[in-house]
Amino acid sequence: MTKAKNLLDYLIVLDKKDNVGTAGRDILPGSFLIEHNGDSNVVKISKRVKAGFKLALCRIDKRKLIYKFGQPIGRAASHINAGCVVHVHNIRSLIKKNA
Amino acid sequence: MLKGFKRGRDICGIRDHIVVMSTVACVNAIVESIARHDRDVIPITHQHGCTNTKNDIEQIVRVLSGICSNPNVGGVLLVALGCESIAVKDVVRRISLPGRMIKSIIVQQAGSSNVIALAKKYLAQIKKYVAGRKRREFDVSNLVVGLECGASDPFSAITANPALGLVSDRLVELGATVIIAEIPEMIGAEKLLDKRIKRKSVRDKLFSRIDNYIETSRSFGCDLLGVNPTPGNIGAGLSTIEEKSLGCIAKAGTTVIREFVEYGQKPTSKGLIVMDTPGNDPESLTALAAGGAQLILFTTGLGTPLGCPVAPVIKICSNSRTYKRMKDYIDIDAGTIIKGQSSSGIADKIFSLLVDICNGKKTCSEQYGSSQIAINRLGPTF
Repeated sequence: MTKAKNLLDYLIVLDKKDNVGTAGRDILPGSFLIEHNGDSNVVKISKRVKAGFKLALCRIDKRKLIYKFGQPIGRAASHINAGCVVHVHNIRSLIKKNA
Repeated sequence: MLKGFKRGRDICGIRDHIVVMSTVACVNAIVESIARHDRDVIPITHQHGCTNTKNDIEQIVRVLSGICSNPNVGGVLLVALGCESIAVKDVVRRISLPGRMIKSIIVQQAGSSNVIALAKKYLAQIKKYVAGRKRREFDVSNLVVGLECGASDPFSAITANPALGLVSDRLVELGATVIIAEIPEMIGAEKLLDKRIKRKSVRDKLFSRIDNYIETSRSFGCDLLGVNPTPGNIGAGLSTIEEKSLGCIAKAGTTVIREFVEYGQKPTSKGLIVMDTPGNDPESLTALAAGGAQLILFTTGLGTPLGCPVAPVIKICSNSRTYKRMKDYIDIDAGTIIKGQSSSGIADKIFSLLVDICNGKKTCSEQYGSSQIAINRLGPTF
């Protein structure tokens, strides 16, 4: 069995409050270890992640806030597992569209 | 040490441009033809000047006279038609005079066969006025620097913008004026901005303007949140307007916001200023130059060739991949931060290039040439 690579080596995390990290370079499919706030998980990434995209550092439940720069950038639209890509398909802006 | 061209007591230009500008779109072809006869001038054309609403007329006159009053402009030849709603005398009246010669041609009065000869005569007078002027030392506190980001990607917020934030803080500390613009790209960053505003009038204006952009977009049936982030931003990994905005304001550093100015309006305070411009890059650069910015610092993720006819634009790229592909348009690669270079190292690099550009070195976009301005329009034309 090959040793899982540490996902944090591929991610740029801007603030300790953040629950997502930005891929600093392309991430190829494989098994990765994620350590976040004392929790450690091995996750499988099945599709290539392009540099610049965000990955969840931990499980983010539906409707929970998503933090980058130490600031909320939106809310989870569905349950997001650690290591999953966080993008327009599973994040909603906090600014109401039809206020 | 900075050396520039005197325009009055304290103000200095970092260029000594001669501008030929149309005051109405109907004469754009004449401006272009004058510039074909004389390669030393910068032709500036636009699509405005007639049958506009009252608010637009005020804004267009403010911007046209502001561009001509930019410290980098040493001579101006205005070309008007004659019957348009913007009177050329109103533009001339608002151009600040010191260190600058202004001439104008009204085409319907001059007649078609005389226009080019008249332009040549006036340009000869302007060139005589500008000739032999030497750069003189000036203090960095006389600089007005505009900030812009365009074609952003997720690295803009991680590399280029934080490095530019350090430069902004340093400029403010040295007594210069720094202008952050692009109000729609502040949506979602209100909490962070709020902490940096001391004056109630500045806060009220800024936040009501942010709300205004959201309401206006809705009244046109295109929710701002639906068109921003742009498809390009989303394709690069930016997911929400908040994410884009928080990255966007990182370039303004950490100092207090001193003043709020209208589109293309000249600030009266030093320090960090907010200007009301849309996120549209050509319209925003035009307003910054009209507000007196001698220089613009522009971060980009996907790369853009855009420049400004009167103010040099230093392009800073968020990632090395784009930098390599778009080298002819971009001055600095901040993507090295991803590989471990410090933000302060890139900030030093930006600052030292800024000094060279002020002293006459050309930016990539200057070498490329740029003659377009784009004025934000408030209402319809009739």
